[in-house]
Formats: sequence, structure tokens, C-alpha cells
Amino acid sequence: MREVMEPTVRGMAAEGHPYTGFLYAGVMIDAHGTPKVLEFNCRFGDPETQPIMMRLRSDFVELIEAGLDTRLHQVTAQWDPRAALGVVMAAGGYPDHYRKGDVIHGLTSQEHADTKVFHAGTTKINSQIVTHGGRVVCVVGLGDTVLQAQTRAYAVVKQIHWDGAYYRNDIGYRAIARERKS
Amino acid sequence: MKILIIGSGGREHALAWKIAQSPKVARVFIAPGNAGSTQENKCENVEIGATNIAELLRFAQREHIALTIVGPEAPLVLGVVDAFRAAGLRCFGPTRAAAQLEGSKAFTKDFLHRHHIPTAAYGNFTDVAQAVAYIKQHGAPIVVKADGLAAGKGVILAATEQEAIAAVHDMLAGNKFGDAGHRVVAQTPAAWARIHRRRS
Repeated sequence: MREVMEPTVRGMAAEGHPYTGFLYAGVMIDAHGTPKVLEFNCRFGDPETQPIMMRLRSDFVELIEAGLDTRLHQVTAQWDPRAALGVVMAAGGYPDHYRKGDVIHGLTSQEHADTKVFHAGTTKINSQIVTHGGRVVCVVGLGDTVLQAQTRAYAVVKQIHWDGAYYRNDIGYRAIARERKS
Repeated sequence: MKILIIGSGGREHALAWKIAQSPKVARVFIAPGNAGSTQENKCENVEIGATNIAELLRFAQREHIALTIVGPEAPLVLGVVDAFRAAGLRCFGPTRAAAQLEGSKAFTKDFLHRHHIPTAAYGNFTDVAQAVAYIKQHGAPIVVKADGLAAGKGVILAATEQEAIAAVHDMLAGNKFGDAGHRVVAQTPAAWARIHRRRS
């Protein structure tokens, strides 16, 4: 924050373009521990937004209004202390050419407190939900540990299917390895 | 209050879902949204594309939208926030000028340099021969990026000089990323494996 985000926000203001909105920095830590900026995103990341929203307890409208009114320093975001983990299910062929229009099965309509299916490339045709993009859904699980969040997310992932659906099986493995060590 | 969320991805579904939980919010419109966003409590999709700024603005005025939240980068880089502000509407996101931090990698590299914010060594190129010369001078591994927006896919982490040169040819000569690739940025990360891990 001190070495990258704050000087960036100050610099944009000094150049006459004060920055309001989400700002993400892709940063690399070099061998000397210095953060080096690789890129910025001027919006909330996708799919990072999905697990982050699952953990946000504050009224999000209040936080955004504070940002617009330049009084962010007066508010503090409240977070669910649990881990959130999101698994993206993609259409066969993504990120290159992929099919659209495959009927998606197993989208549970009942709400679970610890999991949520966020749609991405989906649309409704004749009352059926079909694929409409490369990244089709992102299933998020909450858990007291990353392992529990992962277990919950994949339990829902396994219920959802369409022709050509695929996903990574190892989301969160590094965090889980760290959890096991500590 | 009524809220408008611009975009159609998983991000916008998540934003709409969260925003709708606020007791201040009566209605959330998502333009254009997806099959999930329209199912949420208080939420409704609107058939307007995320970059159709004129139509989004008309809709926001007609519906008396109190707050608009922009999901994707494309409308930000096109100036959706400037247009809404000019019409006296509240819209959360950077202005067109501020969105250059994402919209132009060349602007960002120069900005970081001006403000002494650490970044990797880099060069901006519109010419294949100059880009290739830079790559040969610095060697691999090297990162080659399309300057403009390429839906997050315009970044090549090249392990060899040949791979980097092929990426430059694709972007500058082969038109792989359209206008976004007509200028490329080449930079030399000390630890490119780290970046790869971040993004995987």
C-alpha cells in the first residue's frame, strides 16, 4: 500500500486525474523484497470479486458512497473471518474457441449459507439456462479453513454439468499446503 | 434507492447480489447481466450492452438511478463515468483519464517512472524490428504485453527469446489482438515464475 497504491493515487491526483473506483495492482516481489508493478486493473477483478463479496459483511452501498464522497478514511469494511474459495467452470475450448448454447444441469435453486453459484457466461433460452460465454459459472465456498471452503465449493461444482464443462481440480492447493504446515 | 450495475460477468452477478442486500436499496438493474443476476432478490436485467453509453445514460435518467457501478474496463476506458457525471449522475469508477492506468500500458509505465514507483525495466514498441532488438538485448524470460485492452489475454510470459519474438509478430504484424496489440510493451521480470503463479 505504502510503496505502490498510495503513491499511485497521489500521483493521479497531482496530474489532475483523481482516481475514484476499484484499483488492483499486479505486483511482483523481486529478490530484494521490493514490490514492482506489472500492471493495474481499474476495476474489480473477475473472478476475485465473487469470493470477496461472499466475505464482505459491511453494507457495500455505504462503502461505495463513502468512496464517491471522498470519506473512505471514515469507514472500515467488515469482513467474514472465514476463507472463501471460488472455482470457475469453463466451456470446452476456452480460452480459445468455445461452444455456446449447451444446457446447464444441476444449478441448485435452493440457497446455501456457505456456498453460492455466481453466473458469468449464462443466458436463459426457452426457460432453460444455457452456456453463453467461456467462463460459465464461479462456485464459491466459505469455510473455517481453506480446505473446508474448497471441499464445499467442489461439492457444488460436481453437481453442475453441461457438455464440455471443465474446471481445475486444484484451486487453493498452495493455501491448503500452508494451512497444513502451520 | 435504485442501483444500476454495468456488465454481464460473474463479477457483476456477485456485485448485484451483494448490493441488493443493502437495506437502502429498493431495486438493482444489471445491464446486460446474465441468467444468474436476474434471479436475485430485487434484481432485474436490462438489455443494454455494457459499452452502449448513450443508452445506459438514457436508462439511468429515465429510471432515476441513484448510483451506477461499473464492472468491466471497456466502458470505463470509453468514458462512461465522465458521461454520467456530466449529466449529474453518481457513477462509481475512474474517469476516462484515470482509467488509462489500465487502458494504456505505455501510459502506466511512463506514469510509474514519473512518480518513482518501482516497476520492471521496459520498452514500448510499435515497430517489430525495434521490439525484437530489445528482446535480444535483454534476453528471456521476458514479458510481452499488448498495449490496449485484450480481455486479460494480451500478456505473454515468454520463456525463450523465440517465444517473445513470435508474440511480437502476432501482436504487431499478425494483428492477433486487433487495435489493442498495435503497440506492445516488453519488460524484464527478475522472477517471472512468480507472476505466472499469481495468474494461474
